[in-house]
Amino acid sequence: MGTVITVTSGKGGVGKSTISANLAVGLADTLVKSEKKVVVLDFDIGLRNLDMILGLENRIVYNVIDVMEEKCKLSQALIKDRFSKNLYFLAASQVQDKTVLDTDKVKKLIDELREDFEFIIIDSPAGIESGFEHAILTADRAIVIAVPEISSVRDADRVIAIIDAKSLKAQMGDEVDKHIIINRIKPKLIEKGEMLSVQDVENILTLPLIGVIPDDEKIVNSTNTGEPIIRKRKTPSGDAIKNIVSRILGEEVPFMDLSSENRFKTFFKQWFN
Amino acid sequence: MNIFEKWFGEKEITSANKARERLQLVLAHERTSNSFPFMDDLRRDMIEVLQKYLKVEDINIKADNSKELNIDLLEVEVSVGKNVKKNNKNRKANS
Repeated sequence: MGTVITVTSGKGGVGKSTISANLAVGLADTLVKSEKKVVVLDFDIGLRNLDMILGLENRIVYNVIDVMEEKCKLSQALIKDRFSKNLYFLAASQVQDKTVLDTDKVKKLIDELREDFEFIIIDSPAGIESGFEHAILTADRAIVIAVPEISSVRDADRVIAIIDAKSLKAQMGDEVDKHIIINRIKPKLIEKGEMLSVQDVENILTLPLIGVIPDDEKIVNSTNTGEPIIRKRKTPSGDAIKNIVSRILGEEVPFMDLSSENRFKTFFKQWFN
Repeated sequence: MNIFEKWFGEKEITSANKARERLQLVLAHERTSNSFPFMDDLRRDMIEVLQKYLKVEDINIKADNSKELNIDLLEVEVSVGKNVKKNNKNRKANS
């Protein structure tokens, strides 16, 4: 039985789709030897974007709505990744019709996927409306993304409060395993006292941290070309996500010391000045 | 651009160029779907038919609404096999 991980945030534009894509690639590449498969689903109906982040936008024939409406078989809609042979992608539809997704259909689809895949990553839409509710419905684990900004932390807190209310797991008396990722950290600003620190966000949200991702300009490049950054070597954000993948798989990995890079740089600056 | 590319006069392909290309392609497709709601179904059916004969990688259908012609034009681009980008078979059909 596969594990369903929903990536959500409340606020839009904090990196949900980018992180979903990279986690999926990372998990697939780590599990490739054990022949376990990973699937990533875009639940942002009407505004799909995960396809472009994965560079698979030209391969979409059927989408998640087609599967739920039984216009096609699940196997026809699953798009195989270009590089990771055990990674599959299910696109959102581009037609905005919110009535098409219903609870029973979502449940049925996810149950079917659970049989075949070790991990099912669901990229939730922003907001807390029906799209979010469907994304969280079947979750075993939820990863809440926040950036160290007031509006994001506030929205993340809202989302955390309603995850359990909307999940089947909680209705069965269990609890969704919840973690936070703090994204787009700028160590320099934190050191100057101009940005909330990791500690601040963690304390405010009172959820365990599963990763910290530094702000990384290289992300733009990777989105431009549709090549997830985790595949590139020695990128600060890619390495941070690799650590998160290991933690999801149960390994204990120390958190990245984001200030060390800074200290390293100041050391060199002092040396050369 | 590195120095070799400069010497050999190769065209610069930056990631921003790639982003522009990808966006243009995707948006053209989506705008077409808006004006022709059956487009996705048509694309599916065409892929199904073509795959009987060819290994089809991708099909792009573009609507040409330029005012010069007095008709609406649908341009169909079929990518065949691996790494075929520019040498696609082009077929044009009137809608």
